[in-house]
Amino acid sequence: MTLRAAAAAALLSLAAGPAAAHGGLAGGAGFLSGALHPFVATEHLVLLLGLGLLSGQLPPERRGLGFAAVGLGLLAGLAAGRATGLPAGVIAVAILASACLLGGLVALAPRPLGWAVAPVLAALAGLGVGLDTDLAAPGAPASLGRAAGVVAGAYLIVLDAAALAAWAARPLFAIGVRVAGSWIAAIAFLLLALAISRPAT
Amino acid sequence: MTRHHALAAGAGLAAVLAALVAGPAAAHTGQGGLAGLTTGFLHPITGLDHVVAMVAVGLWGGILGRPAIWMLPVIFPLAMAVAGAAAIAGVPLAGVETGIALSGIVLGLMVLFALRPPLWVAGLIVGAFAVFHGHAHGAELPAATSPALYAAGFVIATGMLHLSGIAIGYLWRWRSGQVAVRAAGGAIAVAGAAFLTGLA
Repeated sequence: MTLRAAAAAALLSLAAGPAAAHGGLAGGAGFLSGALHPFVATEHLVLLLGLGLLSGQLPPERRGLGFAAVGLGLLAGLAAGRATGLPAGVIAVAILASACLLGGLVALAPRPLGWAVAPVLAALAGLGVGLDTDLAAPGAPASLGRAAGVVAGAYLIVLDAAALAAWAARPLFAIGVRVAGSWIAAIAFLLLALAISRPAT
Repeated sequence: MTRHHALAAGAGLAAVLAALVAGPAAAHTGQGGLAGLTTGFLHPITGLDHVVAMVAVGLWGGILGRPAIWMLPVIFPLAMAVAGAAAIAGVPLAGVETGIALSGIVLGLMVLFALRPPLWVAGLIVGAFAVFHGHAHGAELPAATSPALYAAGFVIATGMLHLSGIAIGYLWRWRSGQVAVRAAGGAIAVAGAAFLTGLA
């Protein structure tokens, strides 16, 4: 699947509404709430944007493994869920630390990266987002629709950021991608400081 | 990558931006809405002392060329974030306003005279001044309505000012452009001096 097709598919999946003539409203709402979750959870958003930019900086033939790894990590994290017993604050700190690392790599890492770096980081990022996502939406039970939505939303962020970074491969724009990576690292670092100074209650 | 890739990516980016102004997600730090993002975004832009120093970083990068053209705007937000985190943790820093004013003077003079120190020296200068700017932003962060979005807003605004400076710095390739860039550096140094002496 090309990057364009994958990004378009993810975008369309978000735009699709529930089938009006059937009783799918609850499932559709679960999907939508799941898809929006990575966007409105700021720590997830910066992590996935960093992962996407890093993926887009890779040669095209090396992107697929990372894209697959983030999905596997997400599924594993969602499946394990809160059963791991890890406090939410610990996972959030790990996510933000990972976002710092990813943003730093986007901004400063020499090219090309080792072949295993992006897939390993992608798997860990997916795992973190999955573990930190509650499959039970506020006021609604856990649902597979919400899980599917989380995966679609996460992929939308990663693929779009990757598409932008790949499009910006020309030297002038590549500077912008590196600068954007430093923004992600800086934002994640500040959020990390906030998370540590103000632990979630 | 074709134009269609860019369109798809642009549409997705719009979704990301829309999500940033969307409602809060419980249990995560992204609480608050447009107000926090806007306040953070406007903080560096509405302070002329911040603006001139940020633009000077981009201008100097444009003069120095690769790799400084991307290294300096990368070093700045990273050092700024570390200082901002220190401010959040309550670590005091003396002479913040003086440091910010001095950043305008020093960086403006670097541009005016087109000084070309080794990359590590340039990075050190930019990083050192970023500490003052970061501490100033970070000190206001915990009190912000939405600290997470405030942080995102001021980092993005700072970066966009750098990119503006880089764009202007591209004039350096033309002789008349060099005059314009040097003049901008001189104006920035004068502005920094005005801030330092309290004239502005």
